[in-house]
Amino acid sequence: MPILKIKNAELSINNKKILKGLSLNVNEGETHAIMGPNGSGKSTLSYMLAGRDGYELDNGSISFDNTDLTQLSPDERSNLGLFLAFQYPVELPGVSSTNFLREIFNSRKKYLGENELSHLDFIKHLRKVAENLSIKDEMLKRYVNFGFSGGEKKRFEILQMALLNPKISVLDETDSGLDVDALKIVSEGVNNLKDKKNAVVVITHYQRLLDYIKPDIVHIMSDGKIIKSGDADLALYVEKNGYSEILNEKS
Amino acid sequence: MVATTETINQVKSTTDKYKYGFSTKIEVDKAPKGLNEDIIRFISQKKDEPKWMLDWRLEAFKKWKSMEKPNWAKVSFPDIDFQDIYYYAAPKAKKKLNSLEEVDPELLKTYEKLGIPLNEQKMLAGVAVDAVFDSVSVATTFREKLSEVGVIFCPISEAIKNHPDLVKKYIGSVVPVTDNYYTALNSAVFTDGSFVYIPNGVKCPMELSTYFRINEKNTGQFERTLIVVEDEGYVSYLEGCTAPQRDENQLHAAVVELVAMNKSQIKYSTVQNWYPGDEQGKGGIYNFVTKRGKCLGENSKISWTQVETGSSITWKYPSCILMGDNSIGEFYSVAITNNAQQADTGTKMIHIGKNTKSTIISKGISAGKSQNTYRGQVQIQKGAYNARNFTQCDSLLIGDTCSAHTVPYINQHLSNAKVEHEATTSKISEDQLFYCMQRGLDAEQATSMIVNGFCKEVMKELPMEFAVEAQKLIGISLEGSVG
Amino acid sequence: MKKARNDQFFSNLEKFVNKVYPNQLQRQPYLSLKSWPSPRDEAWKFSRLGKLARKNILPLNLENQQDFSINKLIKDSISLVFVNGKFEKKLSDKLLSEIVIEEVQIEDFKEIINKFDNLSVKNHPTLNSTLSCSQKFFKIKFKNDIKFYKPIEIFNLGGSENTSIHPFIFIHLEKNADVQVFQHYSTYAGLLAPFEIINLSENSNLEIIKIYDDKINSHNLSLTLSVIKEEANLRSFALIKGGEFTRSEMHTLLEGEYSNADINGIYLSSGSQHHDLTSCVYHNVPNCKSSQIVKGVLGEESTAVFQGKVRVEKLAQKTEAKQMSRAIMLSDKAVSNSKPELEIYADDVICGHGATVGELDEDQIFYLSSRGISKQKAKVILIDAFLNEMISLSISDKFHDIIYNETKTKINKLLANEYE
Repeated sequence: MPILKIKNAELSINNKKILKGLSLNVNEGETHAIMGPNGSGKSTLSYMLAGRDGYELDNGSISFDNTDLTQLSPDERSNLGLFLAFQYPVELPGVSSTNFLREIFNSRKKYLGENELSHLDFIKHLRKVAENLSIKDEMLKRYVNFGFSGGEKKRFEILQMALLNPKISVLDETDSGLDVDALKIVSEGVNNLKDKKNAVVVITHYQRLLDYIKPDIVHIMSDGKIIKSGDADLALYVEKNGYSEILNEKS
Repeated sequence: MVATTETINQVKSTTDKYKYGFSTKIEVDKAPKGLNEDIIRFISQKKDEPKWMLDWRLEAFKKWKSMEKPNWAKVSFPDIDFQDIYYYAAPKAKKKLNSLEEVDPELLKTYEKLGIPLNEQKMLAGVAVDAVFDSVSVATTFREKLSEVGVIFCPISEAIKNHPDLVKKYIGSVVPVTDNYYTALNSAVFTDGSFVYIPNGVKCPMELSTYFRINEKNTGQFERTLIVVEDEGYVSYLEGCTAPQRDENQLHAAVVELVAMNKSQIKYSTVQNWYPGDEQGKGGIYNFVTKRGKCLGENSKISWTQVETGSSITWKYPSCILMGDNSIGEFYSVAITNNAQQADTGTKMIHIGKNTKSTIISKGISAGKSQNTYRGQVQIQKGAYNARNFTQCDSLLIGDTCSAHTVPYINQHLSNAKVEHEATTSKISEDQLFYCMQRGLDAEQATSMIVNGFCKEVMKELPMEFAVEAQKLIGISLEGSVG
Repeated sequence: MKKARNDQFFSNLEKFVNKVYPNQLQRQPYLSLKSWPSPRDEAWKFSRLGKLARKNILPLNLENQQDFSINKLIKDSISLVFVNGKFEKKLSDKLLSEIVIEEVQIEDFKEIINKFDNLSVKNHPTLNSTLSCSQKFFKIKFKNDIKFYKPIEIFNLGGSENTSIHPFIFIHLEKNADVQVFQHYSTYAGLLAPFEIINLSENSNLEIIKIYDDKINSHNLSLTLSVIKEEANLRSFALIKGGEFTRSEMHTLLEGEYSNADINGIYLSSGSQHHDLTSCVYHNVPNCKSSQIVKGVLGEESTAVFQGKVRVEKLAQKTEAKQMSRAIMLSDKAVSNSKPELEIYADDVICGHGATVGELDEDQIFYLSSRGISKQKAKVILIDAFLNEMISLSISDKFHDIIYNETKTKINKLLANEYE
C-alpha cells in the first residue's frame, strides 16, 4: 500500500528552482534513504513535505494516504501522521518539555478520536518511552531544546516521534552532530518504532547512519531530482566512490 | 513571523466575543451623576463613616479640583467628563447576610459565570474571598477563621468603623492624597475595597483574594485597598478582575497601599481581565491605578506580580519604596495588548535604605493595533549604600500594526550601588511556529505556548491556582492575533 | 538668594537679528522661540538650563581682533577654523579641489530640517538661535567618489563669558565619498550653540569625531541633524570632557535601505560639570542598522545624562538597533541619569538595549592589588580598559592613540582629585 506519492515536484525559493521534477513513492513497511551532496535540495524536500511557509509547489503533486497534501497546513499534515525530525531542532525558551510533549500527544490523540491521557497516566507513559531513549527525567524538566546538547536534541526528536506514532517519519540529517553511542541509541529508537504499517524516509549525506537503520531502497538526489535508485548496496557504493561518479554517469 | 493583513482580518472576524460579556440585573441604590461636596457627604453617610473620614475626603476633593490630569503616558482617549459619572452604586441591602444562601441568587449566578467559586470548595482550597460587587462588599467569607490568628480581612468601610486607629495611621501614608490626579479623586470618593492587617509574627494561613467586578452602568469604581503587615508577618494577596461588556467607557481609579514592617513579606498578585472594548476599543474599561508598597522595616519584602490582559487603557505602575535597610522590592509583569488596547505600565523602585535590592522583570506582548509601553524608574538615593537593581524588559510583537515602547529611567545618586538594565524587542520566530505546528499544534495553540514560554519568568511567581488561570487567559487574549 | 530665571537672551537675540539682518525674512520664523526649555519638557528633564537662563548673554557680532593658534591633532590634516562662529579663511588651510565650501541660504537646507518633525528638534534653542543669528551659513561639500585620506579638522574658537556664538555647518557628502572629520569645540563662550547638518548621499561614508573641550564656564548646546541615504554609513563619536554644561544632541534619520549609523560617545565629568549625550535614531526604511553606545566616568559632584532613543517605523522591517550605556561613578556626590528608550512599530526587528551604572568592580581592584598594584593604579588600569574597549569599537584604528591621549589627561585629573 503506498503511503506517500510525490509526483514531478517542482519548487523554487526566491525565484530559484530548487526541486526540478522530483518523484518518489513510499509504501507501508518500507525504509527509504535519500542521499545526495550538499545543495541537492534534500532539506527543501523535507520542508516541502511538512508544509513550511514559502515551500509551496510550483508544479506537481503530493499525496499522503490518498489525501492531497498541498493545501494543508503543517499541523494538519502532522495530525495525518507525517513527522519530520528536524536537522536543527528549534529552541522554545520558557516552554517546559513535559508540557510540550503532553500538548502534542493529546492533540494527536484528539485527532485520532482516542482518549486523551490524564496528567498522571501521560507521565507514566512518557517515562517508559523516554527510558528507552536514555532520556532522564531531568532533561524533561528543562525547556524544549533549550541548552540541549546536539545529541540530546536528536534524542528528543525521536522521543516525540515515539509519542506521536506517525505513519511516515522523515529524518532530516538526524546523524549530524552525533557520536557513535548517541547514533546507536537514536537508530535503535527508530528501528523499534518501525512496523509493517508505517514508513521511514532517512535523509542523509553520509552512509554511516545506514549501518544502523537499514534502508530497503536508496535514492541518490542531485540538482533537485532523484537521479538513481537502488538497494542498500547503492549507499555503500557511494560511500566508497563518492557522488561524483554517479553524477558524471548521469550527465 | 509577519502575519499578512488578510490573515489577521480573517482570523479577527472569527475571534470569540468577550467571554465574560454579560450584565446582571440587580436593583441598585445609587447617588445621582456628578461630583460635588454633597455627593461625597452622601457616600460618607451611606457608609456610616466617622467625621474624620468625611473631613479627609472633603480635603482630598478640594485638592483634586486644583489638580491637572496627567498627560505623560503614551495613551490617548477622549476627555473624561467627571460630572457624567455615578460615584456611588450599591446592591440594595435587603437585610444583613449571614451565609451565602442569603446572597441574591442573580449575584451568585454572575460569580458562577465568572468562575468564582464562592462556596465550600473555596474553603477547602484555603482561599477566603472578599467579593466586591460594584462598590459594596456583600459577602466576606472565612473571616472567623482568620480572626482566630488575629488577621483582620474586611471591607475597608468596616475597618474605618471598627479599626479606626489603624486606618487613620496608614491611609494615605504610602500614596499621598495628592500623589496624582486620580489618587486625589479616589481619596475623595472611594466607596470600598479591602483592608488587611497581619499582626506581629503571623503568617496568614491562607491566600486572601478579592474579585473585583464592575456592574452598574457608568459607575466609576474607586477601590481603596490597604494592607499592613507587622514584624515578621506574611501575607499573599490575590486580586482578579473581570467586567461585563459595556458601550460606554468605564473609569476605574483604584489605590492600593502596602506597608511592610521588619522582616515581613507581602506578595500581591493580580490577574486583570477587564473588558478591553470591541475591536475598535469602544466600550472598554479605563484602568488608572496607583499601587505602591512601602518597605518600612528592615529586611522586609514586597513583591508585585501582575498579568494584565484586559482594559482598553491601562495606566499602572505598582511601585516599591525601599526604606528599611536590606529590604527587597520585586515587580514581575506580563502585559498583553490586542486589538485597540493601550497599556502604559511599569514600576518605580525607590532605593533609600542600605543594601536594598530590587528586581524588575517585565514582559510586554502586543498584537492587533495595540500599543504597549513599559515605563519604569529606578532611583538610587544618597545613602542607599550597596543598593542593587536588575531590570529586564522584553517585548514581543505579533503582526505589524502594533507597537512596543520601552521607557526606562535610571537615576543614580551614589557610586556604591549597581543598576543593570536589559531590554529586547523581538517577534515570535517563524522557526518556532513551524516546529510546533509540525508536531500537530494549530497556529493559536502554538502561539499561546510560545508566548507562555516567553512569560515564564513572571508566571512562575504567581500562586499555583492563579497561574493555571492566567496561562489560559494569555491564550484567550491572543485569540485572533495570528494567522 | 538665587537669581531668578530669565529668558532675556531671546529678546536680546530678537533685537540683534532685527538690527543686523533687517531684511533677511528667512530668519524670522526662528525668532518665535521665546524661552529656554523647562524641566517639565521631557527632553530637558535631566539637563536643566536654569543656570544658563540666569547668565546675561548677548549674541556676538565682533570682527575677530585676536590672534589664534590652532593645535592640530593630526599632522597632515586640513584645518577649517571658525572664530566666534564665523569662518576664518586666513586661519584655515588651503582647500583641495574636491572640497567645495560655499555659502548657502536657509531655503537650501530647510527641507532637511523639516524631515525631523518633532518638537524636541523644532523647539531646540540651538536650531532657533543659530538659524536666526548665525552670520553666514556654510556648506562643505565633498564631491562624488572622493576617498579622502587627509582628515578635515574643524576648529571652533573664540567667544567670551557674556557672549553666545553660533557656528553653523552643513556637511554634504556626494555619492561614494569617503571622509573623516574632526570637530573641536574649544571656546570661551558663555553659550556655544553649534548647529550642524549632515547629509550623506548613496554609499558615502563619514566618520566624524567631536571633541567637546570648551572652557570651564561654557554652556555648549550642540545639535546635529543627519540624514542617511542608501548604503551610506555614519560613524559618529563624541568625546565630552569640557565646559560647565555640555550637551551633544544628535538626531539621525536612516532614510535609505542598508544604511548604518553608529552614534557613540564617551563623557568624562569632573568638578560640577554637567554632561549630556542625547541621541535619537529614526529607522524609516527596512534593513538598516544602528548603534548608540555610550560610556562615562563621573567624579566629584558632576552629573551626567544619557538619553538614547530608537524609533522603528512600521515599514522598517529587519532593523537591527542596539543601545548600551555604561557609567562608572567614582564619587558618591556624582549623579547619573539614563533613559534608554525604544519605540517600535515594526514586528520583524532586533532591538535591544542595556544600561549599567555602578562603581569599579571591587573584585577586580582586589585582584590587581594582590598582585602588588596600588589601588589608585588599579583604578587607572580598569578605567583605561573600560575606555579603550569603547574607543576601539567606535573609531578607526589610526585615530585610537590620539583619542586615547585626549581621554588620558582628563582621567588622570579625575583620579588625582578623587585622591586629594
